[in-house]
Amino acid sequence: MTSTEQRAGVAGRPEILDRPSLARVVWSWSGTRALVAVVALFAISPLIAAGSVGPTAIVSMLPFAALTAIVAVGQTLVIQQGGLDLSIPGAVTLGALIVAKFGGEADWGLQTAIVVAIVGTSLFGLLSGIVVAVFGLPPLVVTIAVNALMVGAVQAISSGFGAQTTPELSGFALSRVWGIPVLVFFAVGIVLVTHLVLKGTRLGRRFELVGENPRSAYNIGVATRGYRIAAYWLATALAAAGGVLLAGLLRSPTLTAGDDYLLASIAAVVLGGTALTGGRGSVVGTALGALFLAQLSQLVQTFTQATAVQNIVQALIIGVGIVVQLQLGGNTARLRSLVRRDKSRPPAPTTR
Amino acid sequence: MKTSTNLSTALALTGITKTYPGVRALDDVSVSVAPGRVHAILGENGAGKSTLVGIAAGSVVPDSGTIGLAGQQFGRMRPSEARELGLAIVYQTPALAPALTVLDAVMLLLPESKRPPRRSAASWLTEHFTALGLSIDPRALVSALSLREAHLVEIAAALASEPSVLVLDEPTEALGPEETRWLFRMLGELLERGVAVVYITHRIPEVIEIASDLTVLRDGRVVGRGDVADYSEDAIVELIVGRSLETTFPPKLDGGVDAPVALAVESLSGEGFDDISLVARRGEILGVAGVEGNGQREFLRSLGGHGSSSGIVALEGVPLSLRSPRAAKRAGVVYLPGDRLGEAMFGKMSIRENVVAASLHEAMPVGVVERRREYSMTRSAIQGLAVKTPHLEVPVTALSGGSQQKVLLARARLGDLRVLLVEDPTQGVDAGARVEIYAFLRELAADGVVVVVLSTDAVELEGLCDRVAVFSRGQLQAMLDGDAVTERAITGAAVLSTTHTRSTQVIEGTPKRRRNAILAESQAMVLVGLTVVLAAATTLVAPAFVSPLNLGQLLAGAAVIILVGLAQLLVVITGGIDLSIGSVVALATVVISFFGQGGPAYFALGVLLALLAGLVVGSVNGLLVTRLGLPPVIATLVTSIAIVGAAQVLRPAPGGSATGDIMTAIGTTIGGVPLVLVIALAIAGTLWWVIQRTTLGRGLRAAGSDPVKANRMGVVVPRMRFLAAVAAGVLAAIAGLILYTRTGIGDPNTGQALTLTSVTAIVIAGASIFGGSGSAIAVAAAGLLLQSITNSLSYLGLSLSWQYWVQGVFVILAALIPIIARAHRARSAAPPGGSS
Repeated sequence: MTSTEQRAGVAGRPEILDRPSLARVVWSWSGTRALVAVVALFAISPLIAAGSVGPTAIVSMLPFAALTAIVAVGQTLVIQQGGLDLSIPGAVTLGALIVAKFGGEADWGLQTAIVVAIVGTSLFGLLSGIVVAVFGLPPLVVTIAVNALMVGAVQAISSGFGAQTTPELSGFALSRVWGIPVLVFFAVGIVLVTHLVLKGTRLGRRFELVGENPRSAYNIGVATRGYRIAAYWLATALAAAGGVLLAGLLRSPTLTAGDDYLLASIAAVVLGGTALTGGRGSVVGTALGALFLAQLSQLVQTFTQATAVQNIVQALIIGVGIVVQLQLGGNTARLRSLVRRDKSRPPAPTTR
Repeated sequence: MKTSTNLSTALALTGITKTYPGVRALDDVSVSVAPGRVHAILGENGAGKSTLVGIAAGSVVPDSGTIGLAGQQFGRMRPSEARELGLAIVYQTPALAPALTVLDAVMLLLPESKRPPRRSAASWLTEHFTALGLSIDPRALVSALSLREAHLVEIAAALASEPSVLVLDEPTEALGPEETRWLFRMLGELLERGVAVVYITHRIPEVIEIASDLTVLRDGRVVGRGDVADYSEDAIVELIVGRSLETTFPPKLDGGVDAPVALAVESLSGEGFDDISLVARRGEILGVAGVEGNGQREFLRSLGGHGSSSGIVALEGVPLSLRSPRAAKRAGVVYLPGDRLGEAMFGKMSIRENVVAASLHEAMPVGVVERRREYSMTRSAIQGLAVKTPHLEVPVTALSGGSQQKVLLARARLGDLRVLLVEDPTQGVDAGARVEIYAFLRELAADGVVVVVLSTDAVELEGLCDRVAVFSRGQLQAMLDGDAVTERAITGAAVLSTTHTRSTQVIEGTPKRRRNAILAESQAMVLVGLTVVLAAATTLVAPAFVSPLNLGQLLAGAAVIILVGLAQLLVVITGGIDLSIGSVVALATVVISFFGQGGPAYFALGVLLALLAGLVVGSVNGLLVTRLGLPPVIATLVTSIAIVGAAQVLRPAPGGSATGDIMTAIGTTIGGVPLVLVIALAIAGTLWWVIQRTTLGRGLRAAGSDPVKANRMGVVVPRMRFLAAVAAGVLAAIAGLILYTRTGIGDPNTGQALTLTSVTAIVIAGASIFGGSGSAIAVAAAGLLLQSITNSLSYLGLSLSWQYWVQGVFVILAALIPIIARAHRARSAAPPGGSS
């Protein structure tokens, strides 16, 4: 049963191919622009600051790229469901605080503390998911409120003071395997597993269908709520896991440690090419976006030590990146039209 | 084309072309409409009629061509310009933003010169309605109107604007025969005054009755024009369809009436329809018709597993379970909704993914993607459907309407299809694909699938269906078969039966949810009441709570919350959200802190600069959202972080205290009430008045309630969003100034929590988080309550964490309550035939 035989069956019409040429597939992949951006950034980095792509610089940058990637994978899932998770800061901080406060041998022991930090915190995500999916409240409002609940929990647990992690955890978080920071393996593992599930399984396909259009999915008999709840639940769990690793990395996480990860997680998703309107997404693109952001922040740091200025510059560059990515949309029609004019047809069909 | 339009033309559309993704909606179309005559625009669903009149009215921007109106030529125009130039339009779906009251909506729709003075507006509208013989409450909410009432409101507004050109897009679709008579009488009067009328309809007899000229569109091109008198009814129909009915539609079933029953529906009742019994025979196509909103759509949907229904549906004698779409699918029932993009397609996903979406078990037997299998399934599904595409990975939104429908039919065909329910199968489908789809449906029926077709186009039902069930008021009004299946009979049965509905609904009028001024502020009353209860309870525990010092602190603190709440309210009303409010507050305290050491004039300069900073941030937010199309949440998050950075650069550590003189001057109280609270309340009162009573306020609410309809009403939606963003920036800066007068230092890290507080304030104030409504006075009350909570926590010995918990819980509960209440109302009161 070759496809040639089938095509011959439709006589008199131009044959319909299975897929476009490989070049076009690559060109229209949403993560391509993120990849180009990452390559370009690394290429120009040495021109801007000599040491910024040396082994030392890369190795010190990678753990933060990995953390952003882990948190941003969760954000990708929520954005794929047409939402946005503003409770990331609370979840990261709460995860970090629980493991730092209770990770000692005198308390719960490290393993128990890690499990509680991730599973316990993820219950807040479950709450967001249920409220959003069952009652149809806007994700923004719900996740702002749930973030407040988590910040309250942080205040209650900490009584306003940070805590110090065990040497065990920080030693592990800072360790390297074959010279590569161990956090990178976590990030790559999480990204790969998520990617394979999303793109390679029935579960993942349904998840994307529900995200693209929940009403259509419901109409063809998909139970949509479970997928939407799961997105928020997993996002919070991943943010908490990021918090646990962050605690190890920072040794004594502050009570606002998670604040930096909100914009970073959203920016990584957008730069990675996942549409904010939901549906198809690319966690590989998101990981590339996270890598881009980490290198960018590294580059900005070589110029100024002032966090304030770093914030401004990063916000500006992220803003420009998001505008560019959104203006180009999920397709290449706009790009092409910048280069040449198509006279034969009305403007090429665009996806929006 | 520089020549001025001559006097014998009231409206001239010349060389209009408009393309949408995948479809050329209009191709070089020219129409000129003469004063004092009715010009009918005819065509099938999707022929381009509504796009054409949308262009004339300014709500659709053409790719090329000119619009000649009132002696001027335009390449494009805004809806408000068209209205000012004397063009009034009544849309097919009434373009009235749902969160407005009838009065608000009519006031927005009128051109400025025709608007009555604000004070007498309500009584003017009541008189206008009475003069027209309508009994509609001007204070009813648009969302509470029936489709028919909304149409009548829009017609009444169009008449009140004394237009020179009146455009009516299928006005009689939702009206009863007496109302149609009434409308035609009104049109007669307008024609005598020399008004030009553009009339779009499906109903050929109406064309013969009132139109003088006609233009027929097919697939976006003009295929016929001239005097109505030169055409017979049949000739007009053939012009519309493009060929004779015999070649468009496949032959019907021979002797279908005697075929065995396949699908039997027995006394099925549900929301909008009641006690329906009918059968579909094997091999036939059953049509479903009715005037919009008479229960036929709900009936079809309930067969597809939507909504709760009671009754028996049996297929080949076996009862089916239709609790949910999932159950329906298991029973082999597939429902194809008319709103393809919104309810059936996965727009950005490929043809392959769309086709196999409902058959994932077959496509992935072991749960793992197998591309090859998906391609071969897709190919076999679209076989014979002539989908026009280069390959199977094209996103379905890039396809033409016809190909999209074919993809959906291909999806339905995969798997065990036994009953196919199709709503408006050829909406937006070109003439060629139409024929192919009709043939495909007939083929399915011949293969033993029960095919039920709902259509708003009676010609289509006549040509395609063996029998047609006509609905009215949620009841089965008539069952036409054989030679009785004609356009005339279908329309006649649907229209006739609505006679008695008029007397029950329009003249007597039903009690509506009104936007009652007192009721609307009940939320504020409740919040003030809660504040008092809380204060009393706290005082019992800790009498120091009511000390003048603490009360002064509390009230001044409330001023800050009130202002950030008002800032958020303006943005949320227009359908956005502002996450930069807390940062603007911080920035304002930092800016002013550099001016606290000099004299009053110096301080005043600082105030101005702080306000300017808020203005700039608001403008940046507004531009990012309206010009660059960033989602509000992302735009304001980015600016928020940049602003905090800027504030930290200006003042790395808290500092910059004000002199005692300035602090004393600002700390003034008026009768025990801090000056700053008076200012905040004054701003709240002013905003309340602007939002509720002015054209600007109506525009803001309309923009947030439904941007598309607001645009059609003449509201410039981006301008409203921009204004709201700027105002929010300024209000947040004022909040920063007040915060500075309380703390006396500039601190870049303060105020972050105020963003959350602003959201909490508007949610508990009962503002719609979906946009469109909200009361500034209730926000002021919410500010008082929130500050009282913060204040009493320390007196009650509760930690800071409670402040967050209370806010988080408040937001979720306050947002949930209206939604649960609405669901409850909908369940308890489900009038038959009432919803659409």
